[in-house]
Amino acid sequence: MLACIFTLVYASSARAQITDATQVFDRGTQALHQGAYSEAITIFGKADSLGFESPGLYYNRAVAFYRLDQIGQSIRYLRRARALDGDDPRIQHSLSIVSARIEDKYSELPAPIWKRLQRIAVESIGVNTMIALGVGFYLAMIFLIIMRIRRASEGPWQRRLKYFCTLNAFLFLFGGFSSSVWPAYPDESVVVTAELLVREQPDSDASISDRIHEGLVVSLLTRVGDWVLIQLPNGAQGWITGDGLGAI
Amino acid sequence: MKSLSFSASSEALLGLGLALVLFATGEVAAQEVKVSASISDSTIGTEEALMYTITIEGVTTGATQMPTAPEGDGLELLKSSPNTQSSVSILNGAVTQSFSYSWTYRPEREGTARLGSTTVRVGNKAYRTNEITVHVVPQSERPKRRVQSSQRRFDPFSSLFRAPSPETTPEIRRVRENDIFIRAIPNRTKVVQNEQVIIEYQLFFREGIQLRQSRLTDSWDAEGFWREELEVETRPIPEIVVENGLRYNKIILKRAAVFPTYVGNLSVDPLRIESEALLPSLSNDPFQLLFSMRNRFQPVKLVSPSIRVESSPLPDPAPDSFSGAVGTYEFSTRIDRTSILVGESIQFTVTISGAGNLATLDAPGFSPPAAFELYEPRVSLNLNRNGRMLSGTKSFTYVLVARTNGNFEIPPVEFTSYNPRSKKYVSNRSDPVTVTVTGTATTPASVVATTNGLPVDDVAAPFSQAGDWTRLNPVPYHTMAWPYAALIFPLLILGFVFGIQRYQNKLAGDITFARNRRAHPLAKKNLKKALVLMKKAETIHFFAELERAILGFIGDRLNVSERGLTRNQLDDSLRRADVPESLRTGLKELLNICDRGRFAPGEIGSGKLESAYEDASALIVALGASLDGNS
Repeated sequence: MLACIFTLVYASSARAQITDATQVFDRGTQALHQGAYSEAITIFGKADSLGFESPGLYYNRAVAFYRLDQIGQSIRYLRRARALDGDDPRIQHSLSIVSARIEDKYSELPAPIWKRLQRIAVESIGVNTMIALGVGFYLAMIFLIIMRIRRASEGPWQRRLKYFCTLNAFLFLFGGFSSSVWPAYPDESVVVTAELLVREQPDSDASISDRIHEGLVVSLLTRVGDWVLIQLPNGAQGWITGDGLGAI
Repeated sequence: MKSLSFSASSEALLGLGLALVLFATGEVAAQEVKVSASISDSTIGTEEALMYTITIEGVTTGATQMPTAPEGDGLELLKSSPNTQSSVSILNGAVTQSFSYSWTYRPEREGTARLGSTTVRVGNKAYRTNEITVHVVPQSERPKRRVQSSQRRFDPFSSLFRAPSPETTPEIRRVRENDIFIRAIPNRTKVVQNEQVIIEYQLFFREGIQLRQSRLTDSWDAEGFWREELEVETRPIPEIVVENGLRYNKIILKRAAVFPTYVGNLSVDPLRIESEALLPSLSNDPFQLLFSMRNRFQPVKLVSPSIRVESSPLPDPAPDSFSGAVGTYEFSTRIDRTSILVGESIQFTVTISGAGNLATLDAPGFSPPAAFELYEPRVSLNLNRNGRMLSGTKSFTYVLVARTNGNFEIPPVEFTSYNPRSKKYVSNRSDPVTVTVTGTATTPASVVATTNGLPVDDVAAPFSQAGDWTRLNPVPYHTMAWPYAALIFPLLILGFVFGIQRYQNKLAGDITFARNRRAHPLAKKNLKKALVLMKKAETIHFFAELERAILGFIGDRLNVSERGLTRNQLDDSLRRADVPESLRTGLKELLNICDRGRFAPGEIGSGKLESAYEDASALIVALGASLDGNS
């Protein structure tokens, strides 16, 4: 009873917050259509305090930044939108358009095969769906086993269905939980300032190994004080100060 | 005043000879007072005379005083009173008068002789001439003059009707190095990369020399330089200058601006000219002068010295906005309007003017907001080649087409150049401009859409729906409890069902187990019935039910048919089941009481019913415990 009350209160509270977030989205989109890009960005930012996110919110925010010629921020929010809805062709298209304006052209270090498979699964299904499917197949498997216990015998189709559910339950639960523990995309950030100096050591006097520019997506490996060890798309590593990075 | 047609270009140089013929004896126009001293030749024979001339230009009659002849060292003045000459020239409406005073000297010995300086007074101002050095050589080293006997009368027609003889033919004087030469004058030889260097080529030729059929013999090259030709006077008037005591006509042949494109020691090729020169004749025969003019033109090849320029690199660090512009520049931007409709265009012009290599100047970095479609700039270059430096204006006009409405800031444009004079980088930055775009933000016609409706060169339109809302920064599933609960709870159910099924299977398949499990409940049921009968005071039925409860319990627990057993067999069964003696004795006593109650109820008091019931209940519990402990 208490759990039901708690669930009802929680659900109604979340519904109210989603309504507020939708209103924020609508106002920001209206400002975007009117060309008030800075205002639109400010309005979209209010959704952060509500604690909700959506692909449309991030996408429109990215468009506003793009119109203000802030390529780094635009890529940041387009990547967030893609993480929420990787199938939307508008997000994919816009990301390719904005990415074409990145000054740095690095060859991409190929990811391991299992990582690529994981990314395909995560982008096409999503972690939530994977876990939901896994739990569903798991319950079906349990049900079929109970049926087997109660009836003492099972037909061939029942047996095949049980194996099918068992296999899928294992695959989806393993995929979902492993993607939760080890995300498909590591801790990535995008360069949001015009240029960042990559140094060989976390020291402002250390020699400069590279210069990276706005829009480049880098992987964060370690933090030491204000310094961040990053990995470039080509696998090279170096230290930068974290001021010019925007977390994806 | 005679005119001169002269061009610095190679084509114009072909007419140089003709033009110079006309001007071989031309006077110099000058507005300011100019005093110069010159001699007829810097090298003379021991038997030749030397003419020393002081020329005063730019004065009016009576303003000058007659100068005195300078003292000679190794030269003897033949006559102290000078020959005077005056001339008037009119150039562009300006009248210039010049006076010249000439004295004749004779060498006293071979070797180096000198003529000292002298003072010339023009009005209240005194001018001092330079000292001049003369080389006196043996007469045999000098060209022969026509032998003219003092006894023979001068016959002006002799050269027409008599074949020339060695005695009567003067030796043709060859053109010497200092008679005609080209001087190449750079304005500087140590520069930084891409700094402007002006090179001027000046032609010097002695007074009286005529040139014809002049032409460039080779293409003038300056490898490692960007070259720009500067205009020189197309109709030059030779300027009379004195060089090393000799009077020359000077003409500017060529002026060029060069910009070193590399760092290091670079050289500019010499300027080469071929021409034919006619020197003043040593003969006094007018007919010989007239008819032998063509034969006396000598081919001459003139070569200017090459120029070496040391180009050094630009200082580090250069600002980011520096793109190689070196010189003195001014920078400005202009926008044609600041309020437009969607789809209309604005023109944003960046103008750079000044002295430097404008031709190779790149457009400064310009990144308008993405709301504008940016086209390649239209470049306009206007060079001023008339001055002594190459200067001009270069403008870059950008056309921006508004794609959507709103207020946009055209960002500042920064242009940085290196000023070689101040040796500093100079950065100019324009002010940002706000452009207001109104109208409906529709997709412009120029934007081509793909088959799925997405624009080819722009991001897709904003979303009208937010999509599925999810919690920001969701807690990872592996740190939440419910997924584990969702997995464990069905397992518990499965285990429970499995247990139930197994229990049921055992009850169905194992009679001993089933009777054993049923013993207690059945006994309790029978006791309950007995209790009801006790309350109704039905003694016989009470004891029968009590006996059934006890014996049924024992039969179920020992899996025997209790009804067919005698009391001794029952006791044996209990003894084999290791039931203690005390319990068996108690059981016997209770069964005896039950028998008496059933068959002689009158002997049983009402209090005996309750004690029998309690004894039976205690006995069943004790027997159960004993049998459980043994099993």
